[in-house]
Amino acid sequence: MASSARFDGIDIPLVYAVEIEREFIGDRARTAGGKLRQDLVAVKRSWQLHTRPLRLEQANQLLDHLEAINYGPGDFWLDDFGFTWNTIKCIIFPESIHETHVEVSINGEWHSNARELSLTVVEV
Amino acid sequence: MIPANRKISAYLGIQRADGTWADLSHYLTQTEVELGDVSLVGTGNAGVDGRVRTLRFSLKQEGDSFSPRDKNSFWNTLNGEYSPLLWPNRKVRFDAIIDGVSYRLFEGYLGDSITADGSCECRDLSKRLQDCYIEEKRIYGSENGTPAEDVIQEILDDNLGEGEVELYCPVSPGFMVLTYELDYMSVWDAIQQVAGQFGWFLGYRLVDGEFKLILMEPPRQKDTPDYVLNYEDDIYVQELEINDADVRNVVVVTYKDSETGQRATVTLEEETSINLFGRRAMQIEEADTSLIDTEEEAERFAQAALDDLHDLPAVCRIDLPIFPQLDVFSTIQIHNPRISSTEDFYAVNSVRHTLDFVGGKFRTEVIAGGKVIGGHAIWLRKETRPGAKEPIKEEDIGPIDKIENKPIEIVDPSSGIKYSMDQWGFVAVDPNTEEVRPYVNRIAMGEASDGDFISLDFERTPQVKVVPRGLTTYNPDYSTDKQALRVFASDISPEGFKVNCKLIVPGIETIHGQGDNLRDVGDYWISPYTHPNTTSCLVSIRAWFRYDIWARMYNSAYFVYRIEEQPLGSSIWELVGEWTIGSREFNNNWLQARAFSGAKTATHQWDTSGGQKRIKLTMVDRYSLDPGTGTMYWGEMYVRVNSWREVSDFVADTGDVSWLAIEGGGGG
Repeated sequence: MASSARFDGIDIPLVYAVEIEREFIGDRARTAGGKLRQDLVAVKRSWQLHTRPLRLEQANQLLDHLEAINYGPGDFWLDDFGFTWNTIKCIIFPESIHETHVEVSINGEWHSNARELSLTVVEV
Repeated sequence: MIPANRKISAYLGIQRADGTWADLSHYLTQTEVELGDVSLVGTGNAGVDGRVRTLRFSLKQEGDSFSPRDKNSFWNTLNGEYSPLLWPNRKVRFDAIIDGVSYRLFEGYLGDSITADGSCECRDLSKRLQDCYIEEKRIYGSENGTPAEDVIQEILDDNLGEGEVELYCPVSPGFMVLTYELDYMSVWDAIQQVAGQFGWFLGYRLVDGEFKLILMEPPRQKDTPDYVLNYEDDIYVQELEINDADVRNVVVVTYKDSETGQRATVTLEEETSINLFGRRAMQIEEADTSLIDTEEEAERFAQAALDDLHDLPAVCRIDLPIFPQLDVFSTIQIHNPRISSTEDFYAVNSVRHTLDFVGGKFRTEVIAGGKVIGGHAIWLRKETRPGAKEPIKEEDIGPIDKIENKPIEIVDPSSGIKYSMDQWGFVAVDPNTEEVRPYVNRIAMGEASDGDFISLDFERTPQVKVVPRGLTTYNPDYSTDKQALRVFASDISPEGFKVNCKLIVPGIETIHGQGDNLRDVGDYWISPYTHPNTTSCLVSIRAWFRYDIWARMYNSAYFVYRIEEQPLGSSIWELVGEWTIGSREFNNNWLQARAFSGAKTATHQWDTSGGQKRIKLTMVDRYSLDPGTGTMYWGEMYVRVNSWREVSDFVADTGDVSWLAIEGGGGG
């Protein structure tokens, strides 16, 4: 089954929920007369991904890669983006990664150290 | 007036040594372009006084370092050779880009401050003129008078090279300069001296998209607004402050008339101002050598001063969304019923544009007055106070640097060697080889015996040399053993050092790694036990400091720590010593806080009675000598045992040394 997200070509399997947020970067303030005005530099998106329980090696493939690149920028793809080459340069903050240790049966096989991942991917 | 929704970006370019431009826009985190002081209303130097634009910017470190000393960085390599990008006199350009339209806000040179983290201060193109010193006496003007703009161009050509800097003078001031001698001042001061005689503006301004050195009459009579701003759409904050202390409505100029050879006086008054504020007179005594030597010139000079001082000075501080079109001499009409019941006319005296991409702040701050003026502080500096003699000007005193808490730097033009002196000493730096030659600030010397502690009471940690002057080099009682001399200084600190001078029979030496970081008072770390028969220990201490320092202040952090030892089987900790290690730094910057972080080290050596011991390091106290002068990051600071060494040497004899302690410039 094709996964719905990838980071630097590494699958993030079994994503069951994606929360998309947008960050305003700029100066937004009210004038002396009370009117709200803004100067915009950019709007950046972030995606909070939640996965179903994964095999430990599936989770580690992503986590090891992130550690290897010092949690720096990578090419993020989500199925919303269409073609797999439509990627966006993003960062996954290590503090956004929540790893839950679960015991579960995956495809009929019992895994005592499966992982549920939750992480936030932020556009650079 | 200012659209309520705009797209902002910026361009920052720095010219490399080969003339190409490096685009650093992507790395820009914050920038400020300033002309004049916008922090105060009504006092201080206005942009119309200062006439020099400054740029401060900060870069984020991403990938290769911007530190000029990083020879491996991409930014500091050009055609395979080391060529730092952030380096004095590299040209800098900065544009604000709003809705796709580019506004050049700054062009100038790096050099006033360059830090390893990519924070820099730059001065506009006038830096080149300010840095160029007139070394040769020359005669300017003529018997019949030479136009002032021609004299200025001659000064530029003579000292910077023919046509290197072109003066742009769209309208002649019509001021004729008679013969005078010029020497020993910067080119910038020399040309300002000429322009100051008739109260015109001389500085770099944007003309047709290019910064030019312009000589222009301040548009003092201008009464139509360039821009109309109102509190609903355009103004974040407006403050009003009225202060009549600097109003002058009677100006008396005394000068030496070139025709009669006598000193003469011109008096001008401004009736409206006298009726409003009462009679406020000022006297300006021009020296016999002044370029003002006719009645017409004196009148013109007095009129310029009167025009600039007869009304209330800058009265208004306005905080706007970034508005790069505003510059000194810009005029604005403001509708703000919270401040005034009428639509008021203002002229900009000082301006600062801030683009803070990290903090999300894109603002223009201006200090404005009720009319266009050509100067404020520059006139008041010329004023002769009652009972005083003619005011002494900087050029009368001669070429001396102001005494400030900053290094005094002199560059030898023949060799390029930079000599700098601060309160810690004197250092010469060769720019070609980067060799640093520290010179001595203080020396102490003497003789001492093994185990003595020499008190110095220096202010910085010295370099200490000890040489044996009386020590047995061979003890026949141990003729079958290897013997060695151990002569060195330990426990070196500004307070002093300990002398070690021994003949030993070497034993086993074991070096151990670092201990825990101690951050809070009461924290301690205990080592494992030493080997049996340990006769001496040497402990290396490292302390890490991090704090911020507010503008023009000191901040400091100190740790007091104690070292104890405990013999195996005993419950008693025996005191080895208690020491203080600390860091105190000054922030030279007038405007910005400074972030400091750095390490200090110390070593402590002592002899023990032998046997197995363990060592304990305890943090006894931590404090700052300068509370409230900046944020203290106590959670990140620490003191620790960085390494420690145990030796089971046997001491066969002790002796005396001659010692030399040097506190030097550039030293730690």
